[in-house]
Amino acid sequence: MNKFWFCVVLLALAGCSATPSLQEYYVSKSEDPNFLVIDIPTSILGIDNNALTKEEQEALNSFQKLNVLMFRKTTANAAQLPTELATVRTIIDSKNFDPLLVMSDRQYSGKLVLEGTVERPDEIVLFGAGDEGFLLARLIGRDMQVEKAMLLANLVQRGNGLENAAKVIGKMF
Amino acid sequence: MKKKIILFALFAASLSWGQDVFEKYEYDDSVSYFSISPKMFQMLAKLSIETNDPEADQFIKLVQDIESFKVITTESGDIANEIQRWVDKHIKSVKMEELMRVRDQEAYVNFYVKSGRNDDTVKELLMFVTDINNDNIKLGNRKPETVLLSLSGTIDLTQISKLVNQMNLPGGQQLGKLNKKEDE
Repeated sequence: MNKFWFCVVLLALAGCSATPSLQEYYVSKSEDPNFLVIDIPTSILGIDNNALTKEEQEALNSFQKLNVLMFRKTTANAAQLPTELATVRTIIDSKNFDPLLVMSDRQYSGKLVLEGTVERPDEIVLFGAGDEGFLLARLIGRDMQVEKAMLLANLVQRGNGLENAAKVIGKMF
Repeated sequence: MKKKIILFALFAASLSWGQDVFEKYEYDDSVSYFSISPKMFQMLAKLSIETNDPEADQFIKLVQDIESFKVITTESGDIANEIQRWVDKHIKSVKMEELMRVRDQEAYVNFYVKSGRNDDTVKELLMFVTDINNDNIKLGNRKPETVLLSLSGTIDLTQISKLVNQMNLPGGQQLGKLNKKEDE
């Protein structure tokens, strides 16, 4: 019986010491002045839902938002960069994510990873790091329909989505 | 106790042996690394990209049959030696054959393949370039001396030189020559 409780405690400890999720990392850094967090919902594209076919609506709705986290290196926070990079890398390289594209050079490195299945990813994350800092961009959705991505790209083009987004972002500053 | 430590050391060593040379140097400053995972290729296949350009269509078809693509380049002698060792070992364990070997003033290029179902396709292709001596070859701001490229999937040899040419990597020309030889 004692053994049983020992196992339970061990499991609980293991659960706690596991690497934090990317969401936890985002939340913990949202108050940090060295970080810039931007949340971009797909509604920013200003696409009129009523003008879409049912298929297009479903495709658009499966992509929810783009979540960007940036760390820009300054003389004051330069020492913090390596620790942050190491933390992000452990999360990105954990078995929750499957790498899609990896590139690295002396100055820059980039990684595109996915969470979920290839058919229906829940999250696609782009991680780019360089001498100036790093950037994490998460495309979050609900059963994202990958095969509809091209449809969506056409949609964005047709509805001047990028222009609309630029206008909204312009108003923010 | 001692036995346990030895056992653990053996276990740890076996883990690191299994790791391939690409992942090992992923974060190393003296290498450039690029890889496209099987999942990415699966996803690309799902996107069903359509173009009106026959050449681009052919290229997409070629890409869809590839499962993984990895390139590592380095100018560090130590890492180059390590890559050489990995290549030697890998060829033996997977039983790859030498496809061709080219030595000219610019570089020393080796191609190894693991044959596929028929003569035109291969399951795995390794291109190993050493002693690069050409000022025109630059990747970013570095001058690589050793390049290792690995491709797996169903690879059509007659098409692959196009891909290598697109990447602007040394060795593409040699592969092109190979195709001409086969056509004759």
